[in-house]
Amino acid sequence: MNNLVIGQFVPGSGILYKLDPRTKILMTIAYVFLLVFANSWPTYLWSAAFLLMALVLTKQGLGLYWRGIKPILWLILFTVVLQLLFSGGTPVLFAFGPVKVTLPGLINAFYVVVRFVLIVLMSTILTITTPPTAIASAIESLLKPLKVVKVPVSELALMLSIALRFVPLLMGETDKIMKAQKSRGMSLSTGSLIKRAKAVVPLLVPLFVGALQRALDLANAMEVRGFESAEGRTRYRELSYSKADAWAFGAVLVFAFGFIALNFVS
Amino acid sequence: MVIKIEGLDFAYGAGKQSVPVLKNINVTIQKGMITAIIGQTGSGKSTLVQQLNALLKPTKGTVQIGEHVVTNKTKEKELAPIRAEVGMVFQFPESQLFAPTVLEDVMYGPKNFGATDEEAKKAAKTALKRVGFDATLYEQSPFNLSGGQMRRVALAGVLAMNPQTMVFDEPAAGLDPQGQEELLNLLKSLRDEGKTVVLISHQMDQVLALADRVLVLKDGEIAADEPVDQLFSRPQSWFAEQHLDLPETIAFQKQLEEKGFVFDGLCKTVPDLAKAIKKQLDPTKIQTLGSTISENGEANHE
Ligand SMILES: Nc1ncnc2c1ncn2[C@@H]1O[C@H](COP(=O)(O)OP(=O)(O)OP(=O)(O)O)[C@@H](O)[C@H]1O
Ligand SMILES: [Mg+2]
Repeated sequence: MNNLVIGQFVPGSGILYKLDPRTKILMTIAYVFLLVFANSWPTYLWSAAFLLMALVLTKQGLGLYWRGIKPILWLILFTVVLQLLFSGGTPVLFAFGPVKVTLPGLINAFYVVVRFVLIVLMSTILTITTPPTAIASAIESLLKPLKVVKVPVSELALMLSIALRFVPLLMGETDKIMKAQKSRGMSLSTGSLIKRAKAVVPLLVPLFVGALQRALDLANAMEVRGFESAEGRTRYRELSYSKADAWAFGAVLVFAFGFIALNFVS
Repeated sequence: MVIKIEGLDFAYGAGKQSVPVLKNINVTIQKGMITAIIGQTGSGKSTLVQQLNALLKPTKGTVQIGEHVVTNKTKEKELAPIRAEVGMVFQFPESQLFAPTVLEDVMYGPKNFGATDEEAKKAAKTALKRVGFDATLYEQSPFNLSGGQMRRVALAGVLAMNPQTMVFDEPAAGLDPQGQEELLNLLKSLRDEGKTVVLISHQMDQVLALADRVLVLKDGEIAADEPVDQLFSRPQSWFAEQHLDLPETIAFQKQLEEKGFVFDGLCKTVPDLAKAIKKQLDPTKIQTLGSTISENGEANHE
């Protein structure tokens, strides 16, 4: 469970750690959005180059990112197989009975994989370099304009940041309960599907009971300390843009123009 | 059944982020004894005992549990039988309760290890009786019980499996004094039946009263591994180095020794200490004082 890299913050010292979380979120969104329109190998190459630059600027070993990709390898493989089998066209490279693998299918599969990996890596960069609480405040800040149309942005942000804080707690709790039940002979890896599904009950029930209890305790603790509204709370860390953010926005703009130009050329 | 740990290193996590916790551990947990494990918080006690029933596998070295040998490469499937032999009670074990009724919860362990419904029920009832759980509450939901009652159910859940070795990770935390006393008596009675007991505790008085042998961990290494008398004969400065307290009676005895008192051996209880002090004082003057200390000591200790 601790081997999961996606969604996990890893402390470090690269330039990307110094960017405002809002910048990183907008950057990631822009990147993913553009990538959807990539249509030729030069644009993919250009996108990969941009990603590589971001990777280097996190100053984290590539091994970390490899571990981020590894758990979803089977998903990638699945996509490749689907693409290979279900895209038609000619020429047919080889065929087993009704199943044909075509050249366009192969090219398509390759592009899909590249796109998928790039998107996953870019989001991994965001979460590796940004603590969850910073992501929560950035989202709140970015959503602020929605207050005009009566969206309870502050409450939503508070809920999000509390939820995020509960994640490591819950992981710890899961580990503890899992060990306790294993000690009593729980086995999740043997038996039929129904048997396995039943086997998680001793894990899930205590987890939910504990989480509910924690939530109630937290609500009470907040109430006795006079919590009324999430509106207008002050923060321990205020978000602010710096020079590095200006550079980052510049870099994204250059990337976007290059991307669009390359897309038009082909 | 002896548990033998040889050349064990252990680290949480892998690769760059791995955190070494245990270093070059070589210990043997003797059969039929109470072995206490003490050490400052974060010294690796919980990590060490989780090797004893293979919840954690060594990063390096071997753990031999009876006939099973666990190394880094041992498969998950081979670990299950070990858990029937070594029971584990975690700190605040009540968080493991899940079944709709108390009885079913306690039956969970025995059934996992192949007992029939009948056998499991019998084992569960015996275990619940043993921890002093009220028989009228057997069909209750475990979630409606008080904290102390829940703790008893959780304990019974492990006892019912009847493992040859039982490990307790700070079992007394959060119990009232009477509950603690009962728990300690339970550990003693397990030992008297010939079971092996491993106990992690921060309460030195408990360790002194119960343990036959003590392991001291410091920063993931064994700082001492010896009989309890020998351990507490070490000078006070050594305990300060390990960031450990001495039991109160022992601390007092050591202060007296500094003042020139001479003792034959370690005084484990208040009456023992009183008797030893009395021997050193002028019998004609101190007779009455000595006997009051002794009586109070006995009264406190019952
Ligand atoms: N699941 C885990 N993942 C990573 N590190 C851990 C994990 N569990 C414990 N550690 C680390 O291992 C070290 C030893 O922890 P351990 O729980 O064994 O200490 P302990 O002696 O039982 O302490 P305490 O007396 O507080 O219970 C600590 O530094 C802790 O931060
Ligand atoms: Mg511990």
